[in-house]
Amino acid sequence: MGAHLRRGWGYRANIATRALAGSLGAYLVAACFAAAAARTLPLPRLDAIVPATMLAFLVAPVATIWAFLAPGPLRALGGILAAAALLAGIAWAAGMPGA
Amino acid sequence: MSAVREGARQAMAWLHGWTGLLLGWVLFVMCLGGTLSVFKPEIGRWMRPETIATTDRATALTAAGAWLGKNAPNSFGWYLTLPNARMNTVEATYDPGTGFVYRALDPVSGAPAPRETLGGEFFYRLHFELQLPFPWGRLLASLAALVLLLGLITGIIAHRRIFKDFFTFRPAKGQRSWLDGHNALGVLALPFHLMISFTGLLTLATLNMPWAISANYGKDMAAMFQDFQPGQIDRPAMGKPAPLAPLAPMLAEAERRLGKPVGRVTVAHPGDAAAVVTMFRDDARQIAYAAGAVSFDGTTGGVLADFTENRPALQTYGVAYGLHLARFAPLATRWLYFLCGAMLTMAVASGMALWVVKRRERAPLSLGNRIVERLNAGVLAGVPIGCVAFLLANRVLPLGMADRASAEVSVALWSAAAALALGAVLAPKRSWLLLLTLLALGCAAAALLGGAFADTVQASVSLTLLAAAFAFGWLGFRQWRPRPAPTRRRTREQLA
Repeated sequence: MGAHLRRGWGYRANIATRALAGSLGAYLVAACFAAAAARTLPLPRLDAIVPATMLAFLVAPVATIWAFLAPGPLRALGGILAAAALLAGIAWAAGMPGA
Repeated sequence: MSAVREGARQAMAWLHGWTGLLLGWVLFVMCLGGTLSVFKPEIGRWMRPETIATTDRATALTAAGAWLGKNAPNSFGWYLTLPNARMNTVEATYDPGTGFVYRALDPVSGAPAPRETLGGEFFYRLHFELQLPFPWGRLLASLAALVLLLGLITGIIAHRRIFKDFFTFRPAKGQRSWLDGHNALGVLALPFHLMISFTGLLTLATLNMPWAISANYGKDMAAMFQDFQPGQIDRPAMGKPAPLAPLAPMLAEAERRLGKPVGRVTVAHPGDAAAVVTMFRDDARQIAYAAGAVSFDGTTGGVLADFTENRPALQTYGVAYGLHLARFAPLATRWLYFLCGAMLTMAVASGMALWVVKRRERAPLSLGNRIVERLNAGVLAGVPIGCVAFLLANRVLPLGMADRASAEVSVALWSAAAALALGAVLAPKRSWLLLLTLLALGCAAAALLGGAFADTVQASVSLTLLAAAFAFGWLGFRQWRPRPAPTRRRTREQLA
């Protein structure tokens, strides 16, 4: 994303894709992480919410940063979506804990 | 440094700049409001100089309960903060039949203080609600907090020599000085900045990151809250009137069971047969927020539940929450919070200024950046002007006027709006000079009009305002003083 890239449509599409992956995408990853961690951490169902939510707040900025460091915009978006899908799958497989 | 790492550093600098630009002004309002909120009770006392009575907790609670029983009997609930070492009044949120209001109740009479004002509560609400309706203010604040955390991390990565720049300041050198200042403000209090943005996100987690909760509880939020605070009983109103039992004996019993003073009291469905009184441990006695609670049946005064937090995960949450609120902090620590908060506020402001300065030194500003330049003057000087106008309105508006508390807020908002308009129409050099002068005069006027040097707390607020007046006056003077012509960077090479 250095100045060597011309500010043409290619550059704009690159930034727009990464911005999408780094904003909504990063939040999606954090949300899926929170759900997956809450269901899989070996803690009572309320207690598990605390570390799951706290770590999700760190996952979000890391995902955003990664979206802007990934080798290409499509890889950034694809990587973010894949991570979200994987975490959502873990959450779904774990199922909602009983009281 | 390898090319890849240099590229990554540049990408992070780019991300730091653009995300900062996107939410910098919102962050500035939040940081300023949060910094002032550190002294929320003290500002409240400065804003109610007539209300000086002090009593013990039991007397104040009984007086508040009696007054609210007559004047807000049908409120869904009363939410009270008892007097403590910092605040002499009972802070009460209740519905007198016209929607919820916040008032400071006299600890002896139980009636609202004659100088009707939100006091420090204004800055506290501004900090995370931004004067926007629920939930939009809190959502915007959450987004800004996330951007702050991201900005801190990308700022660290983008930074080449963090420890060297710790000690670097090259004044009066344009962009270089702004960058040095921005770096120093960010780096010197970096642990505080990281802590406050992370714990700030956590305080609004049920709104901005509810997915762990819904993963484990689905839509059953009642069950979650029951598990979360077992000391607080939540039950629906019966619709059958019944008088409230005396509150003082409940207070004594709660303090005996908690082993610590009670700080907050809520009364759900007062005057109903299903009324519940819940008493929370004082937040000043430990870092953790809401560390314990006892609930009573409102009509019999019998104990319904009693709980002191002992689950490690929940204690962690309580401590993180408490670290953000800083209610545990003794005086010296509060001043440290205030200082670090001021540094964060200035880091945000200098970052916004840097965006423009950096581009101005390279080439004439684009239209977009000229708008940023003018908005900077309007927001960075205008929001503090609004805050000072709020304090001035507190001293100037007549005591008995209708809706006095909202009138103070209106004065604050209109003043900030006027400053924003001035910043938009005047050339930046002039608007900075004018607005900083107004800000300095406003601070000085508030300090002098305050006229409250009788008690140490009020005197401290007035003296802090005077100090702010000098600081803003100095900044204004720097705008007015003709600047030396910028030295060319190439001079040295040309000489050589």
